[in-house]
Amino acid sequence: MNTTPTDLPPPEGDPAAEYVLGVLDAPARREIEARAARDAVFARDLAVWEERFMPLLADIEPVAVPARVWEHLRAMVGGGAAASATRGGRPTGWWESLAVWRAFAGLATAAALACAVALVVLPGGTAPEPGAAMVSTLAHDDGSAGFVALIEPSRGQLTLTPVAAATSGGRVPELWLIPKDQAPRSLGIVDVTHSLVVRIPEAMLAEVGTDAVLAVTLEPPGGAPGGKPTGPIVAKGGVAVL
Amino acid sequence: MAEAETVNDDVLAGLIAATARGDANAFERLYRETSAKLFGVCLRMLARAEAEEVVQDVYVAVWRKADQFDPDRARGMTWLSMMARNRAIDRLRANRSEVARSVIALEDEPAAAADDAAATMQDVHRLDDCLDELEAPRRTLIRTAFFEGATYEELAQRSATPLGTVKSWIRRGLLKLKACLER
Repeated sequence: MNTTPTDLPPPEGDPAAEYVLGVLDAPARREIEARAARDAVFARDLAVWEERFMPLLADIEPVAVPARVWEHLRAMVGGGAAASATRGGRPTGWWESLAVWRAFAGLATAAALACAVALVVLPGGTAPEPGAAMVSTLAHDDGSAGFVALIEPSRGQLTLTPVAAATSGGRVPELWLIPKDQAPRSLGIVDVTHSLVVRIPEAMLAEVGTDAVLAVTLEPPGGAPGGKPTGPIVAKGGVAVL
Repeated sequence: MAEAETVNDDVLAGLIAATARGDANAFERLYRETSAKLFGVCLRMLARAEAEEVVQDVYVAVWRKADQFDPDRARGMTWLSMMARNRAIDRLRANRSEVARSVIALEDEPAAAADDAAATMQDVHRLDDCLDELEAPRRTLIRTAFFEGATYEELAQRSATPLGTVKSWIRRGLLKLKACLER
C-alpha cells in the first residue's frame, strides 16, 4: 500500500466515525451534535461507533480522583441549596408522598376544571405570575388520574408522580409538553412506578403555562424516534396554577 | 488492572436509573465504580487540574441528566466514558494555548499491547485484531486521535505528513475497521 506522504485527495469521511474518533474541530463537532439531536438514525450511528471504539479504553489505567471532587459533588447532591430537597433518595418533600398525591389528584382535577371554567369566564384574567408553581392531572380517557405533575418554573423542574399508570408491549412512557397551537416537545422518558423529577429545558420554560397541555404517550424503548410522538396517548391534562 | 470493568453493565444501568430517580446513594456508588476510569481517560488529553474539572462536570451532568441514559442504546460505561471524552475534547479545542505535544513517529510505532490474561473481553481482542490489519501509519494515527483527541491538522503537523494524506489514511482506516468489525 501507499504509505509515502504524497498529498492524496482524501475519500469522503464518515462523520459519525470522525466525531467519535475525535479528529473534528469545534464547529464540526457542534454540527454533528445538532444533527444527532434531530436525526435518530444518525444518533444511532454515533452510538454504534462509540461502542466500536470502547474496547480501546481497556488500555487506559484508572487513576483515583482526588477526594475534593466527590466533596463538591456531595454538596450538590446532599443539600445546601433548597433545590435539592427532592433529591437524596429520601422523600423529604410533601410532593414526594404518593398518598398525598393520590388524595390530591381528585382535588387537582376539580381545581383544573375550576380554572378551565375561570379561563372561559374571565379570559386573560388568570395568567400565572412568572415562576408560580402549577399542577396538572394527566387523566386517562375514562377521566381517572394517571399521573399528577407539579411544575416549578422557578426551579426549572417538573415532578411527575404516577397515580395509576402502566406500560404494555415493552413500550416506555414519554412525557410531552404541548404548547398552545404547537407541536409536542418531549420532556423525556418517565416512570410508571416512581415519582420523577424532570428538568425543563430553559428554552421550554416560557411555554409552560395554563394554555399548555401535558401528555404521556407509549413509545418504543429509547423514546419516540425523531422526537415526535408515535404511540397512543395514555394520559393527558391541562395545566393549572396551584 | 482495569477494575472499573468488573462492574457489569446491568449493575451500572441500575445505578444510573436509580440516579435518575434522585437516589444519592446510587449516585455515590456509580461515582466510586466509574470515576477513576473516567479520570484516566481525561488525563490522556488534559493536564491534571483540567481533567479533574471535566470529571466533576461529567458527574454533575450525570446527576442532572441520568434520565437521558437509554440502556437499550448504550452500555453504562460507554455512555459515561464517551461523555467524559467528549467534554475533554471540547476542553482541548477551547485551549488555544495548548502545550506542545509529542512528535508522532509513524514508522517505529510501539507493538500493539500484549495480550493481557485479565482482559478476557472478546471485543477487546477483536478491535485489536482489526486495528492490526491496518497498515502501521493508519493504526498509529487512529490510536493517537482516539486517545489524545487530536484533530486532523494536529496529526498532520505532529507526524510531518500532508493533511490530505492524514485524512485519507484515517478515513480509509475507519472504513476498513468498520468492515473488519462487521465481518
